Amino acid sequence: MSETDDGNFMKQVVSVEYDTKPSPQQVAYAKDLARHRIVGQRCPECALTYVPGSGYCPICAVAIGADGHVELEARGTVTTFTVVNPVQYKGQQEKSPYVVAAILLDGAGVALGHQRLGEVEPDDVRIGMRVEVEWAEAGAANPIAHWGPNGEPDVPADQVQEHVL
Amino acid sequence: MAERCAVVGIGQTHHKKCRDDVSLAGLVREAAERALEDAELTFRDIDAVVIGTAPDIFEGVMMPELYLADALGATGKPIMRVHTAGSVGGSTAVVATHLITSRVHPRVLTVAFEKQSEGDTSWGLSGGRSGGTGAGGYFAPHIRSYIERSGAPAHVGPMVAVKDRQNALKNPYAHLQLPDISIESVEASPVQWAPIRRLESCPTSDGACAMVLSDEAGGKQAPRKPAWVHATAIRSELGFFPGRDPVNPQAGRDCAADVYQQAGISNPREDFDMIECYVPFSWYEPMWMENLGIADEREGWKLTESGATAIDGDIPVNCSGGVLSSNPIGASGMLRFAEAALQVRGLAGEHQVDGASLALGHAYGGAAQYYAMWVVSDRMP
Ligand SMILES: [Zn+2]
Repeated sequence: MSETDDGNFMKQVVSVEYDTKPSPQQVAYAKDLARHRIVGQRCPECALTYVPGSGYCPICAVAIGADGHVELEARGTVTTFTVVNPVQYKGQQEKSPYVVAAILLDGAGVALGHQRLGEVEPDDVRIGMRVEVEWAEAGAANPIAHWGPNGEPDVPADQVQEHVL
Repeated sequence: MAERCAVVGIGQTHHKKCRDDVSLAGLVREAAERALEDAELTFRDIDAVVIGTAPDIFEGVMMPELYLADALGATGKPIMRVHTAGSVGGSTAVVATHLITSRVHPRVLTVAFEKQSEGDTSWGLSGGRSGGTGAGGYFAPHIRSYIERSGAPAHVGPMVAVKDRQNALKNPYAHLQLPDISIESVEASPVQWAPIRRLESCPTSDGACAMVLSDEAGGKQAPRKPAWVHATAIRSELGFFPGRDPVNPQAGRDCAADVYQQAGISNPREDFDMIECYVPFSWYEPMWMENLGIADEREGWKLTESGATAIDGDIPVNCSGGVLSSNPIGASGMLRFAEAALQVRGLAGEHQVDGASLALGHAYGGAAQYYAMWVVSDRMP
C-alpha cells in the first residue's frame, strides 16, 4: 500500500466461484478413469486415437461413436516437460518444485498434457522416458496420483519430440 | 484502392512494476496525451478510439472500454475494444488501421494498456485454483522441445536475456533497468519453469501505449515524419489439435507470409532493417526468427548466437528492450508495433537503428495461437 497526495490505494481481494458443466464425453472419461480404465476414441477415418476423446475427430470432422472406444494401457512416453517452481498466488497450495509432462500413451495419437510425474528427481526426467500410472487412493478427486518411471529403456527423443501437444 | 494509413503520433508511459501514482484512466491518458502531442493534435481532432487490453480477470476491471471513454476523449465518439489475449495490442492497432484504410474515419486514436499491479495474472490464468503453472509453465515445454529439436546450445537463451536488457538501458520508458546483467547472472538466476530462468522471463508491469493513425492527407501534413503502414495481418489457430506444432505454429507462418506478400517482401532477412517481436521468454527470439522466415527451421539460434539480432547487428531484434524488459500485457503487442514505427520515423532516440526504413512489428498471444503483425516504412506505399 502506498500513499500519494491524491489518495490511498487499498488492497481488495475478490474471488470468483463458478461451476463448469462437463460434456457427456468428459463425464464418461472421468467415470472410466475412476475405475482405473483409460478409454480413448479412435477416428473411423484417420485412425488417430484421442485421449480423452470429445466424440468427434477435429481433423476429419466426423463423429466417433461407441464402436470407436478403445481402452489403452496406463503407460506411455514423456514427450516434453517442465519443472514448475510454483508462483505463490492466492489459492496456490503447491510449495515446492514439481514436474509437469506431456505423455504420449502407447497407442494414442495425441499426448496427454499437464500430467504430474512422481518417483523421479526433476533433474532425471528426460524426453523419451517411459512412464506408467500410479493410481490415487480410492475417493481422491483425481484418480491419477502421478506417473512414474516404469524402468523400460527410453524411446529415442526424435521419435516423440514432435508430440509437443 | 484502399486509403493509405500513416502513424503520425506515438506515446507511451514509463512502464513500472506499480504505477500507483495514476489510476487506470490516468495511465491510458498519459500515453494518449503523449501520442497527441507528438502528432500536434488534440482529442478534438480524433474521430474514433480503438482500445485493447488483456482478459479482464488479469487486472479485475470488467469492460474498461466503458469506464475509459472519458479519459480518452471518446464521449460522443465511437469507441471499441479488441480482445485477442496477449496479442491484443497488435490486433488493436490492426483494427484501428482498417478504420483508416477503409475510409470509415480519417483519424483514429488507438490505445493498449495493462495495470498488472491491480490484479494477479498468475491467479487469473489458473482460475484461482491451486496447481496453475502460469504462462511460463505453459510455454516452458514448448521451449524445451525447441532446444531438443534444434540442438541449440544452452547459452543462447541467456544471450537474448542480456541483449534485450542492455537495449532497455537505452530506453527511458523500459521497466527493467539492469545495468549489471550478464550471461553469468542470468544463468545463476533461479529456474522458474525449467528450462526458463527468472532472468529469462518478462516482468509484470503497469503501462500503456498509444498511437494516432491518419489517412494519407493527414500523413502528409504531419509535423514529424510519419510511418506508413504497408501491411497488416491477423491469424489464429486452435490452441489444441492433433498435429499442432506450438514450437513453429502454422498461424504465425501464415500471418508473416500474408504481410510479406502485401508489402512485396521476398527476402525478409535482407529487406527488414529491424524487427520488434513479442519475446516474453528469451528462447522465443530464435523460435520466432524461424516462424517469421528470418532463419531456416532449427537455425534461429545461430542467428542470435552470431550477434545478428543485436542492435548493431544486420537484423536488430527488440531494440526497445522488448517484452523481456517491459510487460504491461495488453500494451505489449502495441509497444512492438509502436517501436517498429518509431524506428522508421527515426525517432527511437538512443535505441535508434541508423537509417531504419522498413520494420516489422509482431505480437502473439493465448496458447501461442493468436498473431498480429504489421510492416511499416518511412516510404509511402
Ligand atoms: Zn480423423
